[in-house]
Amino acid sequence: MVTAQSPETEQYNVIGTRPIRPDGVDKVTGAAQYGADLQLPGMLAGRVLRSPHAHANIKSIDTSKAEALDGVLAVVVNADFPRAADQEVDTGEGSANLKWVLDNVIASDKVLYKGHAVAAVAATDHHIAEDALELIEVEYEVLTPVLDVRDAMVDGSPLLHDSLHTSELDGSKSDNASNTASHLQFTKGEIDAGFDEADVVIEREFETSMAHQGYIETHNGTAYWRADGTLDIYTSTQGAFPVRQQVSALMQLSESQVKVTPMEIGGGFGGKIPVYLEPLAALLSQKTGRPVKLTMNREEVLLATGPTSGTYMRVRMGAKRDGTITAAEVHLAFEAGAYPGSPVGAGAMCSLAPYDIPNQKIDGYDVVVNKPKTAAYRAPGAPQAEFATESVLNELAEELGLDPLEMRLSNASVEGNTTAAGMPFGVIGNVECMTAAQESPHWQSELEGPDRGRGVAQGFWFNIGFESSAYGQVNGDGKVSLVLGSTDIGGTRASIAMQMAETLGIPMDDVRPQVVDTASVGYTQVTGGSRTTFAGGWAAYECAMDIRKQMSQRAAQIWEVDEDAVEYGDDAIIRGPADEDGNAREIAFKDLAAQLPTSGGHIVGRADVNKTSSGPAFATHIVDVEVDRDTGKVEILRYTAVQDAGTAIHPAYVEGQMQGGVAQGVGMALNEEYYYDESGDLKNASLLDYRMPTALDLPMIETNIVEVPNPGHPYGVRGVGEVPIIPPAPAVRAAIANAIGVHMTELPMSPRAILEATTLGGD
Amino acid sequence: MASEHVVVNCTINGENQVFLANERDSLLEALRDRIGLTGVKEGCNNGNCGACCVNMDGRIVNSCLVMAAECEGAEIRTVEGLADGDQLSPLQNAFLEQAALQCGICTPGFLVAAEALLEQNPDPSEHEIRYWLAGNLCRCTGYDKIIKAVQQAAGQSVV
Amino acid sequence: MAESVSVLIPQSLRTLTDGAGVLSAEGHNLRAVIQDLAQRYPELAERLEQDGKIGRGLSLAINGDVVSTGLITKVPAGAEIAIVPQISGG
Repeated sequence: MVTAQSPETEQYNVIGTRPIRPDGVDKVTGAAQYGADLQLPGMLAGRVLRSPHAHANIKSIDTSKAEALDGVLAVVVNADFPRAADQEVDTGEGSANLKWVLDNVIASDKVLYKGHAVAAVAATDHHIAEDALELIEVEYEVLTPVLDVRDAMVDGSPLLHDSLHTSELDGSKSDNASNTASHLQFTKGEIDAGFDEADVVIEREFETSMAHQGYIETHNGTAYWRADGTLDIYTSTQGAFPVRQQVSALMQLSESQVKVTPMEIGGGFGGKIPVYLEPLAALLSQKTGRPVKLTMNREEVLLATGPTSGTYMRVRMGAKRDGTITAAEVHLAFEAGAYPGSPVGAGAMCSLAPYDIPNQKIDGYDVVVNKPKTAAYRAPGAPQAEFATESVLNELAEELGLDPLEMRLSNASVEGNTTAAGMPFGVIGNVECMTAAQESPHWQSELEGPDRGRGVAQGFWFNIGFESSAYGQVNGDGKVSLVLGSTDIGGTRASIAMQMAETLGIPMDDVRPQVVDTASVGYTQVTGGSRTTFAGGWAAYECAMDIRKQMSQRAAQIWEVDEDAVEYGDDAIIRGPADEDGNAREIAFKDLAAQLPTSGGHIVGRADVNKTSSGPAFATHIVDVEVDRDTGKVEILRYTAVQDAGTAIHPAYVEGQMQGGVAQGVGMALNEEYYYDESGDLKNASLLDYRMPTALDLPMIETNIVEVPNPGHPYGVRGVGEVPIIPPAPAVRAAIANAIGVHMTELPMSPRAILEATTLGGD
Repeated sequence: MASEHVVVNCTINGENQVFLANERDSLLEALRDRIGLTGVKEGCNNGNCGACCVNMDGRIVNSCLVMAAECEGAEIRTVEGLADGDQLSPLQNAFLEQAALQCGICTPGFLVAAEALLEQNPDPSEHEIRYWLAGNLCRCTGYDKIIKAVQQAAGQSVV
Repeated sequence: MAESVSVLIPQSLRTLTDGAGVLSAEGHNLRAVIQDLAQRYPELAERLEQDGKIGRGLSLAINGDVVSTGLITKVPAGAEIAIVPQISGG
């Protein structure tokens, strides 16, 4: 294990080291309590009835036989919910129409995808609940489904929502109802003049399939609605506060009536931000007066949660002979699933961000189809959009006979450049990542052997801050109990506690972090968008600064000196002016902590931050592949991920995020797809057929952490989780082209797709 | 549709257990819902992810594919049985030191499976580790650090 | 004296600005900037401020940082304000 700190973090005592995570023991002994592990007295088990059709009107639902089954205590349908007004609700990351949120939780008049929830049952055990589902009689009028984003956009296509019109960013709406929910456009420079300047222009079309976040823990939600009208929710969620907002809005309760306890979470990657089961559990609990736990099985997860958008994309890019990119035009059509809200906006803004291209035109379309409502998935929208743009850039380099990294360097965005969306870059590590990749042993090595190839690609993601809270209680033993609202998905208890320990000058082990419920800490946004170590760490820093101030004040009181004359040192020694005898006044943090109870009481530090600064992250990936021409299988031979982390707080977990992002990106590149038949039936709704990478599918993933500290953060942090999922697909595509001369145009580049492309001659 | 119940006698983590199982219960359901060993996780309930794997009579099984009623007389070991009191096993320590877990939901299955590997093959190659663990899915780590943790527990030098 | 800032108008909103891509405006915070714009581009102002909040589906970024403190967010002199769609992370 590498334990040395990087040169960038040598100035720190705790930051840059690799302590064992505070929640580690519970997670290797089985003691950690995930959502489904919860048992409450008198708890009932719930199950959900789901639509067998992709698109149908619900004519009637008869639950009487199910309700009559011995052991069944309640059955609920959409009509049992308070009527959702036509209002917007904050769903954690942006807002959504409340009626659509409820209709996605449980269908009202129409089912819009196979697996759409129709009714929910609570029973004394889950076997009985499952039996009861079979007794619910639903009469459907089956409608023609719309499954492809391009079909959905055509005039005259069957409509999912009669009331949906295409809205433009300026607020105008189309006259006719449409499956295209919205359109946005960004431009910069003069696109036609830019292409006129180009010596070479390449245009490609791409199709990508929906892909699922694939967290190993399935969704769960437990509710206990007390007779006094208060509601407790226990769930595996990326954001307890957004769950509270959504559940209270859907149940027409005030937020103060609802307490959400975030359980340990078995992965999320964006997919555990929406609510699915929590409102159903709440209503079943209200009806029965008992706690109700709902869990999904894997088929339900694949049918009815997540995924990220399938897309149709078109990119045209032109460059001069010397490699200068003069113009780029990007067309993105993203499947939102059954309700509006694909990540096409973020995809559009990321698509060309790594490059300073003078003339750009980017169009994005958000389109509803009869598939599950998409959810955020790691750098939402960017893996698709940048797959398209990076792929065309690689082909331009190939056409011009230029080194693809050199061509990127000569066009790279640097500080002061502005994206087409009008976002100027501050201090960024774009060039540093490309340079580190060039200098890597991997790029410097020779690749030999038939049907082998090397590819490279760049990735960009914004990273944002927003609200986080941290409370720290100084205990008499000199340790600090740190209270957080951020679900710990991948070691953020550690990375946040480390920033507090660094600020206080105490050892990491002396900070004891805990993740608590929504009644016990200030508002904290979702663990997502690579914001948790960034904003949570900032909250911990400010909380620690508050503790430093209060400890200094206390020392001043004890010494009877002026507060301004006392200083808290980075070595956790509090120093005051010399006493009358000329002796130094100083006291260690631990010793002062021991005196707190008898010198005026305990100290609690507090910080509630709402940080607006961003920490743009870039990554450069290199991959070597071997293509089996007989089977179409692509083997990953070697992989190197370079990424600017700003400051790597806990380098092992930074590497882990990079490696995990690569694995997901490789899955998206090679195997993972939502495979529907013409009726809208998902044919691969299991982890056997929805093929995620196994240990045997990947080599060791070499990591190279670049550290260009983010000036917008006290410790220079940038988020790290999102960006590494972006470059794998275009890098693998380039490697396949380099190996066998075929430029793929779809994701995944599965054995089937490769064989079709090679036997049909490719391009 | 009323279910029959069966009495099951077995040994779990070295302790005799007698429990009443619904005849429709899988071993996974019995361990979690009847006995309270919730360290055994459900990821797919059809044998594809390995989150529920336990050691049954010396073999690694996906407990979602074993009926509880089949476990009469069986000797079963779960993640809860790996540590000796407050002494973590070398494999558990290696997972912590190598940061081989992020969300931790797949960790119990990986630990049980890897322990069985090292019992059978104390000095496995990287390929042998990957092959043995290919039935356990992890979505967070990309496997790199899990493989290294197993190598560390096997006493191999880890870069 | 009020400070002058630039407001970058994405293509999709130029229907509200007679095609202009960059507007100059004055104001110490976002609300004041929008009120200043309202004199010349009332439709744009209506899109940017709805029910006392930043307009639905939009985010505003000052010098590259997306604001989270709404329309009372202070705007430094010479700032560039970008109008972008709301984004989310995983």
